[in-house]
Amino acid sequence: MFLELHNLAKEYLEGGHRRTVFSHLDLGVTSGERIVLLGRSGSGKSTLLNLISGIDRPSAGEIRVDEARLTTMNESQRTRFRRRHIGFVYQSFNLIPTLTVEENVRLPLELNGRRTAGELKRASDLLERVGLGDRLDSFPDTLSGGEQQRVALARALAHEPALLLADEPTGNLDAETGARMLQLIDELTREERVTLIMVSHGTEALPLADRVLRLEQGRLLEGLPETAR
Amino acid sequence: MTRTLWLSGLRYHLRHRWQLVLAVVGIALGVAVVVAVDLANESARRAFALSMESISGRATHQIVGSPLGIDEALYASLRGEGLRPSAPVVEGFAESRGRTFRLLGLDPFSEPPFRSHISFLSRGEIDLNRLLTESGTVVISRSNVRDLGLGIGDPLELDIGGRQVVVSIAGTMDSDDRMERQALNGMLIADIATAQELLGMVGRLSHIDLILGPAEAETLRTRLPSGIDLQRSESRTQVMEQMTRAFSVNLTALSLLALLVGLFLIYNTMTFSVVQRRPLLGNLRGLGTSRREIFSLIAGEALLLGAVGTAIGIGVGIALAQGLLGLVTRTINDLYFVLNVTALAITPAALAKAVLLGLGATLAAAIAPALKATRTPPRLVTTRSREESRYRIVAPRAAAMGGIVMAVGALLLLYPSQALAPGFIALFLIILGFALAVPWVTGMMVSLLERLGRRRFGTPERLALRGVQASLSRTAVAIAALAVAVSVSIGMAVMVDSFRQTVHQWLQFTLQADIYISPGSAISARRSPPLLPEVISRVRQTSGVADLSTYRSLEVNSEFGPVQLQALHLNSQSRTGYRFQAEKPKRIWPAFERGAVLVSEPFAHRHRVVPGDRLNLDTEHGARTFPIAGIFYDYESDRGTVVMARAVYEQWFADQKVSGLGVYLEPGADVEQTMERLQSRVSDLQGVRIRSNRDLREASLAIFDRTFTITEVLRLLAVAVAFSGVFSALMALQLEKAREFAILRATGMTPGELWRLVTLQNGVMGLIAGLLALPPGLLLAAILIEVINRRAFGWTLWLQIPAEALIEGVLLAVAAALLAGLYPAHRLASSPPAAALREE
Repeated sequence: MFLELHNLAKEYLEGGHRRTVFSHLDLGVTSGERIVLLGRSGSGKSTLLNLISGIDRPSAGEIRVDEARLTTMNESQRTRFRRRHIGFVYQSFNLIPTLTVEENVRLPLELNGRRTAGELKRASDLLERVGLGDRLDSFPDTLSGGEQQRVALARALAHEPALLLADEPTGNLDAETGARMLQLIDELTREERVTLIMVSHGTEALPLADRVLRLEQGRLLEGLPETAR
Repeated sequence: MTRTLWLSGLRYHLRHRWQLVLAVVGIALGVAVVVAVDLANESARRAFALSMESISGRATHQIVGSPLGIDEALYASLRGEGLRPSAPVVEGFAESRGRTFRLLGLDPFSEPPFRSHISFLSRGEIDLNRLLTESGTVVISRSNVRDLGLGIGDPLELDIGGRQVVVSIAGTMDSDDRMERQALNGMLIADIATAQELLGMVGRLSHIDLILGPAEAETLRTRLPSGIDLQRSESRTQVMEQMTRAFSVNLTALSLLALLVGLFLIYNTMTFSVVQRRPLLGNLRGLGTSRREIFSLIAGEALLLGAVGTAIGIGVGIALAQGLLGLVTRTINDLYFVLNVTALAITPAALAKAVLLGLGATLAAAIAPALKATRTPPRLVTTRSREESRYRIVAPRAAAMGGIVMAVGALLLLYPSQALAPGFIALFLIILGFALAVPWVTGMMVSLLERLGRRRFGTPERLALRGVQASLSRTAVAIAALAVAVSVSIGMAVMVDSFRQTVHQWLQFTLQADIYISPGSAISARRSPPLLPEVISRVRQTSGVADLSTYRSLEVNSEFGPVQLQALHLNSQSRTGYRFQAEKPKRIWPAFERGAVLVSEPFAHRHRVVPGDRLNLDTEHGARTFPIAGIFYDYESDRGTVVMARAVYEQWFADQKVSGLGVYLEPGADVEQTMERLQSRVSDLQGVRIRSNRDLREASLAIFDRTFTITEVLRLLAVAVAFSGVFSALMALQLEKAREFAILRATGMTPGELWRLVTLQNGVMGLIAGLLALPPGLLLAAILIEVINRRAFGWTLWLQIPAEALIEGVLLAVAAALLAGLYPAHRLASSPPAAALREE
């Protein structure tokens, strides 16, 4: 298995009360598999992606990515692992406002020590690929939402990660832009042979999926809900 | 203004608590420094006025004579002619157990019309009979007697001009009035005969107090013998106040510099809060909030901040004033006259001034940010990056404007004037102009650093530099505030150091003798009693002594009021210790021997005299004019000194006394051994201080350092104001970037790399601020030295640039900036980025 979750749990403290997002969660994902994760708002989908990426820590359980045990790593080790193996596309783009479009995409390359002109050219190539080759020097806040999300996708793939996590990447986009975005994700992840886990609360991403999972009341279930079939 | 609008502002500040607290601290410290200096000055002034009042009482006029006093026969003769009410007074100083007392000799029978609080002596716990009939008895205030642990009838040891005498306490005095009680503290009252005996003024009076109408005064003036003058009582107080005016003004000015630093920091805080809230303000405008309401919101917040800061500042200022009061009093005692200040005078006027200044400064600093806030478009059509681009376009124009403002300041400095206010306005304009140029210069410096480090820097380093450049609208304001604060600190440090070096060099060429001998009293350099003639003759006969120079230092009346006169017998070596402004010594010394006087640089400045002018002095033989032969450099006193040849002095003042000796040794004589010999030969005659050239130089520098302690304290306070402001600005700047940093962490930046980024970014800003602070800091020092000090005191100081002060300034900026980054770096690096990402 490329990705394994064993007995995973996450709890939060809210106003002195402990709230369990999920517990006893198990999952196995093979390399190159494309998973769409469905669930209502607040069901814990984003939390699960945060745990898999290592930007958050589980309350219990184990996460293995490509044989590496994320749960035994410290903060720095998780970060180094993430920057080598994982790409993340957020619903709210999360571009660095003080960096230009090209600099945003170069960032993961540079963090991985890929700083030669040849290596950095991948940033402009990817931006060309997502249709933003003419906006390299623009700052994120001068772009439309769709354009910003394309930059975010290019950035997530820049360092050739093995795993791409996408947290409702079309959530802030209109239907047409969202559809184009999904198409781009589909094309690029196939070209790059990346394992994909995409969170969505609608069904528009289902055509991309090899497998559909849903997170309901703290449990991870296979397949579409009854209502969607 | 709606309640909800207020709430939006209030909650914004509550969410940025650190920023809020540090802004309040900045204002509070700025106000506290001004309040403290103001109260300390005012307390000293009041204590002085009170002590003058307690001595003068209801007297309207005083008959004064030469420095040696008035023959008491004059009093008897005037009284015989029916001049009443009149009261004889003998006045001097004594020390006991480290305290300085003003010893006042009075005639209790003549007193009642003059000094009510002293005439109540008859009502106090006092043995009047003993006081009048028994020699060596004194009356002392009840609180003094309590502090000394003594009682009525107990002996009290006094040091009067190096002579040890023991007096007996014949009674205590007290008053129900707080101010009167304060005036009585530090006072010893004796019968006139006792005081004459104790002070070595047998047969002489210090002055005669009178209550006269204007016509009576005019008649009396014409009847007085030559060398005796009639003065109005208040003129004595005025002269004393004038003496310390420059000192007080300078202190106030330095405290205002601290407030100026505070002002920049308030501006920084308010600008930052506006820039940070642009989206919110845009939303509010979109919802229909008018420009006026936005302005009121920001100005109102500033006013609230100002009010809280001012209130705290007043409290801290009062506490601080207690400490400064000691320093102010010590400086006045070192440089001007003996003053006992025990109570802090907290006047409503001083508090009102602080409120006005604190609120006024906060409002003034908030006007520009408030106006900026009103220009926020209803819907935020401008993006942050476009706003930053526009800021970068405006920066060169602002720098050009800053250049013009600085040029206006420079022109104002060049305008020939002796007034201090234009000097300070020019100083302010130059600092303001400099602050306007900071954004452009910062941009240039960061670009240069980016270019230099293109190949060597890693990602955190390049992101750090990029962060400074990309948020110039915020970073530049913080850097400007830090640079202004540091430049003030550098300016003050360089000024003090230049002054010290100048004094050091001056002492080196002025002190020519091997050994110096003066009376042992440490009351005040200005009040030193004479050396006994027997002491002088024994010194002269001591083996190893080759030659003596003598000086007599005393206060005489002149056309400018009381002035310090030094009568010198100089040998050829001691003459080389005098450096003159422009004239040739070869021409000056012969004129000096023939009867001309020399005046010190501060004297010439204060009284606007030049060589060739004539100076009127009251001598034993009446008023005489003396030509001024030259102006010499002198840093002993800012009041100035008149120097006269000993022979000329003896001719006109009929005084043989000597205040101190310069001893020149025979070649090969050992200084230490000769000092020991001198001590053993004169110690049985009079308590004297025998100091080697090096000791005196060190002691003089120690006094210098003491008098500048207060400047150093003010500088440190300005630094504290700066530090709190900068800390606030930079910490806010970094905390604002929490989300950006969380994205970086999520993208793969390790906590260590983030630490590096934040620390480096703050370090770069601190370094830029520190480097930028150097030119204005030096300029400030030059202005303080060349304009402010010269206009206030008349001293020529040589600008010295101590590397330590400059390094310290840069380090201060870097340290403040680095410290400010610690908390945000820790917070951002130690918490999982998910939290920061979720918070948005």
